[in-house]
Amino acid sequence: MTGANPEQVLVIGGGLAALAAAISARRAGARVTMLEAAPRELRGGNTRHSRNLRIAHDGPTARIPGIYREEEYLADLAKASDGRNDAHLSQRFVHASTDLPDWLAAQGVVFQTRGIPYSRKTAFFLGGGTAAVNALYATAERVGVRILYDAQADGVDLETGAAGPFRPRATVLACGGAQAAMQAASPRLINRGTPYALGEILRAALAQGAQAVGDADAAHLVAVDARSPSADGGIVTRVDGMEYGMAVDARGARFTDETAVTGPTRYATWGRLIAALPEQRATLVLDADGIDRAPLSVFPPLEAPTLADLAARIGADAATLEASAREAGRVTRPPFFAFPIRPGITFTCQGLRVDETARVIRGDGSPCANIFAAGMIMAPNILGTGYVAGGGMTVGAVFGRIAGEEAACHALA
Amino acid sequence: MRSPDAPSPERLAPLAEAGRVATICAVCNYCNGFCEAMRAIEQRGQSPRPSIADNGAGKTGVAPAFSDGDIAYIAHLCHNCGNCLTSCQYAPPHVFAVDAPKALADVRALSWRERPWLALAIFVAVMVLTVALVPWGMLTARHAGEGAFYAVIPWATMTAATLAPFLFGIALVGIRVTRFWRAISGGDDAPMAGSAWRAIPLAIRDAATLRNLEGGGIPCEQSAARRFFHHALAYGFLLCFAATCTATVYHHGFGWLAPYPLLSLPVILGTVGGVGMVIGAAGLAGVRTGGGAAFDTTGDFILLTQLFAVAASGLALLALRDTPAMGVLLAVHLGTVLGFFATLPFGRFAHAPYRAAALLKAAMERRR
Ligand SMILES: Cc1cc2nc3c(=O)[nH]c(=O)nc-3n(C[C@H](O)[C@H](O)[C@H](O)COP(=O)(O)OP(=O)(O)OC[C@H]3O[C@@H](n4cnc5c(N)ncnc54)[C@H](O)[C@@H]3O)c2cc1C
Ligand code: HEM
Ligand code: HEM
Ligand code: SF4
Ligand code: SF4
Repeated sequence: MTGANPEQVLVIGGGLAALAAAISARRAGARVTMLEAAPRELRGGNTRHSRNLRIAHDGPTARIPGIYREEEYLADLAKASDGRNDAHLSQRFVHASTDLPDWLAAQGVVFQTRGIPYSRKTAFFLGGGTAAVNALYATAERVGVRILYDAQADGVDLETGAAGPFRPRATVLACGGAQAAMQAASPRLINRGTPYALGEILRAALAQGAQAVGDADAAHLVAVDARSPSADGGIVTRVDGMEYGMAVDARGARFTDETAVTGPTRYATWGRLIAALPEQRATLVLDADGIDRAPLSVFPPLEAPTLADLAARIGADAATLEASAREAGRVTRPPFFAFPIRPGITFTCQGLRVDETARVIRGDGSPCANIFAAGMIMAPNILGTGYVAGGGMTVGAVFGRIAGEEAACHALA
Repeated sequence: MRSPDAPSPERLAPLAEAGRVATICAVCNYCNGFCEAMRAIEQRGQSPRPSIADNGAGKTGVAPAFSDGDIAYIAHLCHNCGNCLTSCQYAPPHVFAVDAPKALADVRALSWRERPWLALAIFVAVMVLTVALVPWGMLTARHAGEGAFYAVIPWATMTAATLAPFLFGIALVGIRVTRFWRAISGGDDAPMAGSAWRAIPLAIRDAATLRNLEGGGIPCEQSAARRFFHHALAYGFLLCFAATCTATVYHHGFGWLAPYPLLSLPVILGTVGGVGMVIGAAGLAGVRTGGGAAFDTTGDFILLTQLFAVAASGLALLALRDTPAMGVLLAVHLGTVLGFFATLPFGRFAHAPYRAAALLKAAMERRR
């Protein structure tokens, strides 16, 4: 397993995309090494924080109810990406999603069929992404993938596929987005996911002439509690329940109609609204009735007997906050409660253009011979700068499989 | 769990930690498909709750999402399969350091008041008393035929000596489990009264199969082994109990005195049960030492040792009942039995009624 470096395919990354690539390349017969920047206990990137994937299906299956046809999926993608997705690639992607649950199940992933909200578009991992990650690492080990932890690659040569000491015949870039880099550049943002998403491979590839898709400044943002850890807070830090109170800016003024923002996209809508505020922070204020209605939070609320006292606690202007409460009409009965909010990055929206073999495309339109990309690092091909729930996981798994098979095919040819 | 006297700091710490963990789990909810404990956490996290605590001087402060009764209930529902820990995105070294099985085991530990020395003391006392009171010749002689055991220790003494600690133990455990039931029911029994009856078969199934060790579909090898050995131990125990009951009927109903023939019902039941217990106890101890649980399992080992000793001494007694060793072995066996009975309220054996109560409550919630 060690000694002279045996790999024919090198996979950079340790989340769903990397695991799918490594397992399928290995199953196709190649010798595979996987580099995961994180230590073993924190392996799995943002995948460990995820829960569901979006799957097209023509009828109810054991793992997913209802019907979600490929045409509808494509329409959803076109809408979410404002038509900026790669239509041909998206078609291939949506079609490939159909047998993904079976493939993942064959790799040991277990799906949850009871006790989940009804969702005809998505399938859920039992135990969430970390359980799926554990199952896939176990399978990768069993089939003989060499897995190196604490193994951050700091660059890749687009001509040869070489990375650091590794000289593979084909290389798969599956190292996620650049959330940690964006957070480091704008510390007012919180990185919801892995601190190992530094984006160095993306930057290296772009610097060597790979073609970019998406937008370097765009990210999927969600309203999270300002007391969240600066990275890896995951799913539990989201702030919700604005419609039961009011959301105010740093001064204490409201900036939108809280009851108009509802539905499953409300988290992202709030993330965007708050990121657009000058201070990029806001506060959810609830009264004694509102706190009962708002969903449970892992952080305790700040509390005060009057709005003026609360204003002092959150650094807002008392008169402005009181005026906001009168205007909203929902914040009347003491005591009052506050949750400080910041925008949290789920993923960044710049990536590498790929073709339908998942090969990285250069600026001149020519594909790299032996460099493949899968997962968040190429997701804007499919999602643009938008998002559909469960789409991130599916992009990782679908293109991970394609990249792994194509890389093995190239390496063994 | 809330008693009129304020909980001591040692009790508060595990309750507070489990409350913190349960709150994170309720918001995350990724593990809700694993088991009843996680389902109960989910349910309590979602149901509308009065957040404002009434501290007497007017309403203030946000009450925790989980009462101490909720936490105790969830703790006794957790079968410690470990799935939620290995699947947890917040498991240590994450700063949230979520370790639900450990937090819940620490809360369960508040329910046991382990007194292993009491069992040991009684064991030694029975031995000493037997040797001191039974003439040496009598004790080491070969006894045979009807009533042979009672020649060594008279029937009345044996019965009184075992019945007293047994009834005392049952009563104490009964009182504590009743209190536990009240705490976990939190006064909302009325609307559930009807569902209790329909829930009983579900609860029996869950207790009889240890369904919650299946991990909701991700069973690990260790859980499968623990389930098998626990079944061997628990069903073996029930068979031994049945053997004792049959023997009592033989004795009082028919006037047949022990020892009974090898192919009689009490001996067959007891032998099968005893072998099951020995295998189960040894197996569980092996699985425990073979890695896994990262927390204090001393109490489990004490209970395992006690049950192993009772069954092994009983089997030895059966095997050697026609030899001069019988007298001493009878004393040894009774010593282990009395020690076990006397520590019923002070050890983990009480997990059976506690867990049965929690499973019943969970079945009632599902039935609603
Ligand atoms: C809180 C949260 C919840 C989410 N929920 C969902 C959901 O329910 N459904 C969904 O579809 N999507 C969800 N997403 C998005 C989803 O997590 C991503 O789309 C998905 O994880 C992308 O997979 P990936 O394999 O490309 O990247 P990741 O899973 O992020 O993996 C990247 C891996 O690469 C490693 N790495 C990075 N740089 C290097 C390097 N230089 N060298 C070596 N290794 C490196 C990292 O350590 C990591 O292991 C969620 C995201 C977050 C943050
Ligand atoms: C209502 C019926 C019962 C249920 C639901 C039940 C459930 C459980 C569970 C879940 C555990 C694991 C606890 C943990 O790991 O923290 C356990 C442990 C144990 N049980 Fe039971 N039990 C029942 C009855 C019994 C009976 C009748 C016996 C024996 C006579 C028994 C003996 C033991 C022992 C010795 C252990 C500790 C062993 C170990 O896991 O290391 N149980 N039980
Ligand atoms: C009420 C208290 C008990 C008394 C008086 C008692 C007495 C006896 C006696 C006299 C024997 C020898 C039977 C024979 O050789 O035919 C015996 C055997 C045995 N006892 Fe006990 N016992 C008691 C409780 C228990 C308990 C609680 C267990 C285990 C849970 C147990 C397990 C066994 C076993 C496994 C045997 C050997 C099998 C058999 O002979 O049936 N006993 N016991
Ligand atoms: S154990 Fe971890 S992953 Fe599971 S519900 Fe709790 S916080 Fe979520
Ligand atoms: S350890 Fe197993 S039984 Fe206990 S809460 Fe976690 S998943 Fe449920």
